[in-house]
Amino acid sequence: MLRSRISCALPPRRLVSYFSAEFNKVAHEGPAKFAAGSSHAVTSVDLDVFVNPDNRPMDLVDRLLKLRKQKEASLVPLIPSVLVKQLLDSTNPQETISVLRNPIQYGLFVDQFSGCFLLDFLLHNGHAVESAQLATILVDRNLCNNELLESLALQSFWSFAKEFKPFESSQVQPPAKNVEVEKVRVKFIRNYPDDASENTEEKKLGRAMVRLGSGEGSLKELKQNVALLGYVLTGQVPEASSFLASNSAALHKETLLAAQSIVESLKLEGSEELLKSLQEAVEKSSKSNAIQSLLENSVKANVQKFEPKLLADYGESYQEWAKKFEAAVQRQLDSQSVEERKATIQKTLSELEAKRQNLWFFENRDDIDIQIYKKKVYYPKRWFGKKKKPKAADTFYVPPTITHNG
Amino acid sequence: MAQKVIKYIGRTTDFRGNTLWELVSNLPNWGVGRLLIRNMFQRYPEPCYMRILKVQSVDEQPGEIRKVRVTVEKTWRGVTQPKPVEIYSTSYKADYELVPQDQEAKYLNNKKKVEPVILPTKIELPPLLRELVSEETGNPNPQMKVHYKLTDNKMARLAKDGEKPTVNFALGVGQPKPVSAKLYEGLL
Repeated sequence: MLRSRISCALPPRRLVSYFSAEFNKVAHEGPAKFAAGSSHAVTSVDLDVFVNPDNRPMDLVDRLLKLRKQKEASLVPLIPSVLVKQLLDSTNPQETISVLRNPIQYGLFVDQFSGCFLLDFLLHNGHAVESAQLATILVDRNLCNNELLESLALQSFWSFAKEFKPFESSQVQPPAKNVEVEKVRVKFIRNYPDDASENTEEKKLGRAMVRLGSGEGSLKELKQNVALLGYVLTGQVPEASSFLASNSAALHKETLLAAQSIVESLKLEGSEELLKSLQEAVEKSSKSNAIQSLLENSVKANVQKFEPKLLADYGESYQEWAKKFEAAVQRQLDSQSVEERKATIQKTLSELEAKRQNLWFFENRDDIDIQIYKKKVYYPKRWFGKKKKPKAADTFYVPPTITHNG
Repeated sequence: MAQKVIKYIGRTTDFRGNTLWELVSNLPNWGVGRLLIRNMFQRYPEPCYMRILKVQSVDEQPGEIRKVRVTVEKTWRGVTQPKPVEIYSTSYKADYELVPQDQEAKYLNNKKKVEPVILPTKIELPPLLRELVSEETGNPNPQMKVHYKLTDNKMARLAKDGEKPTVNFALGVGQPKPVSAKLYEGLL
């Protein structure tokens, strides 16, 4: 059974959102006012023309995967705003994030509009880990270039950090004895300079938090809180200690307590001094107000400020995408029509050849009759070879006398 | 369950990086406008980089490293090719690296250029032929004209009028290099 059928049985219900009703309507139903001249469905991108000509039931993830493997991958544009909504409807948030994190296989790149929508959805549905992973994608691709996305990313990281649990994939397993070695033949052996231990999930998220927290602006205080958590997540104990010493005035008590819990859960090496420093900072901290309320207030304020621009940018990008997608569909249909015409011509030629073969006898009947009439039969004279001379023994042969009475 | 360790058997290379498909498919808009380098070409003091102009994907072949057609503006040792170049046959090599946007100035501001090789228009004849031509014509030092076909991807050209060639072709055994001069002590 397709996964989409299971997912559609329990459609998600959204009750709270940072954005206005207009934003949510555009995100869920698509930009109706921009799609007047488009002949394709607005709420879903139809990829069956390219990857599913037989119209077999296929998941959206499988369609994206198949499209990426074909040469049409560079010709078909994908609009992330609509496809992200389709992914959420047909799959779960975990799979959606895995698709967005692997553009090499799926070809889907998140943009600011879809990033805001998805972060809002994940934050209000309790998916803290997925929201932090999405925020990491946005930070790594330099999409957090306005205060709205920065505040949403900060809240995502904070939601993840305050309820932090180590990832199972990051646990280092000791090498087992008598391990079985499987030899795989490849054409070239790759030289990977990166170390696998440096690409754990915690380190990826931590680096993004440090990078986001190093910026300036009106959210500097909140960024510094997130930066400390990032240093702790990546295991950079000396940097965390120095950061704590130089920015202790801006750090909140909740942040320090969260950092303590992260250090204890990760079991970092050489973290005793850091724990002592954190404990001292907790005792000295004068900021005991809730950081969650500060984050929410900053998000709401920035939503009021940046939502019109976000909608305008989305409209422009949708119009541009619609033109390109229409051109790609037309090109595909033209190529298919050319192939069909070629096949039809070949079929017609073969049928004509068969008919011509059948009609050959009737067209040449008179000639055949004339040839038959003109043909004369000459029976060759029978020849039994060279005449043989009688043998010497037969020279004096006298046949016996045969009387009439027998 | 027994743990398995995969050991790859195959040809070893000096490549360091990713294949071209892994780079361009991981970038929005296929990385048009970004700079690429090949680590094998970074041995030169002059900059060697490529700017992506257009990407055209190719069907994936099972069991093979995926290739991709990328049209680039190629700069080889500081000299930019006048026409775009398409990379396809070498796109499977895992030697490509994407230049971060904040480090593009490092390559663009490097104005070093490889010096063009200027060839002489005439060189000496071989020794025996020189003797024969001298006896026949009476010219004590006859010269032979150099024929050189100039193409777009060559860095050498013939010297023009009044121009001094940078390469001198002299017939003879020559002198040993300083590093190996001691091997010829007492012989030359």
